Amino acid sequence: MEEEKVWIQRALAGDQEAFACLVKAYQTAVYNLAYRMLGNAAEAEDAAQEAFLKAYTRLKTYDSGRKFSSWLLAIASHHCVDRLRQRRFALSLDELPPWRWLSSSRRPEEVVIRSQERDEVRQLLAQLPPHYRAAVILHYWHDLSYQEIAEATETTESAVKSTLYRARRMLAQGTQAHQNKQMVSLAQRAVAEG
Amino acid sequence: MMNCRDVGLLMSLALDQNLTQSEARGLEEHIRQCPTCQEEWEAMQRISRTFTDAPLMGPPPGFADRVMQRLAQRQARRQRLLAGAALLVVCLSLVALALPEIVRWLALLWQVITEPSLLSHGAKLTAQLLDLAESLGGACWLIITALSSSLNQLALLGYSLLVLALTALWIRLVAGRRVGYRPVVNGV
Repeated sequence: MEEEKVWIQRALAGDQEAFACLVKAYQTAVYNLAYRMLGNAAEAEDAAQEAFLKAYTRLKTYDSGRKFSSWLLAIASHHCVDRLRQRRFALSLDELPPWRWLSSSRRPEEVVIRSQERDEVRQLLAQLPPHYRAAVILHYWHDLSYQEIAEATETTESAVKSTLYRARRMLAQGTQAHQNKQMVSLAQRAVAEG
Repeated sequence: MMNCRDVGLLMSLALDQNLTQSEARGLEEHIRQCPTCQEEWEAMQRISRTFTDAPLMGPPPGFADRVMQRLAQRQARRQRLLAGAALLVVCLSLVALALPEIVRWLALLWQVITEPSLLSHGAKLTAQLLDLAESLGGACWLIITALSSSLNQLALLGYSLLVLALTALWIRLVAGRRVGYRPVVNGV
């Protein structure tokens, strides 16, 4: 932490090597946030780079009383939310329903391999509006407290609780609705087959 | 007995281990008696596990270097823009100083062009151009004398150096514009 403070002070004085140390220290956190938000490796890299550039130009506004990681993730989160809002076409053809991977009636050959796990997460997150997605990612992958998420997303702690609840409920109801649909379909087929 | 609406928020808080003992007991009791909420609770737990198990995704190798490269490119571009803006201001100021003479010259030129016989006015035009050159020279001399009288010699020297520096910068800018900005993205 002391080392981090020194890097920040030196970066503020224009030392780019010190800023490079900060980039190396937080590259995984920022890239992961961008990747989970945008669901695309190339776009995530571009967004993560942009987030660091924004952080560099706004470094003077950083309040040293706050966690640097939270401040940086707030910048990255805002940037990704803006990008998502700019997207004209929210759903691409390869974004399959999230419940496909959550179904309890999974066939034996549908063994979840690593790439599928990523798809599952990506497809779940893709169902959420940008600001719900940001709160969920900051909570699950970056271990930010309600208070820290509230600061990062410029809202209140109670609003964060409510956002997380609505996001979880939205996803839960989506999977339930799909499962019910499957059951009705199976029942209809059974009746038809006598 | 809690209602289903209250229980929803408690389920979410329970996933984050953020319930008091009495809230946890109330939630447990409600879920046991309400199949709808029980289904929702199980789905929420499943989704929460999926997120918890998913790893932190790291960037491709060389990411930090690409960020620093992009930062350097952006700063160089910003400096070029600032220098360009400064030069523009200087050029506009110089043009503004010579503007009355330019307007007069244009008016004369227009007068000559609109005359029926251009050749007959050739000598007059030459004389007027000479007059104009003399006036421009006079204007420059006036500027220099005005500056030397209103500013001290040190300021005048500074001004001259500034003009020289800006000229040198402009030459460098024109030479340096061969390579434009390109976003740095790994070939993913």
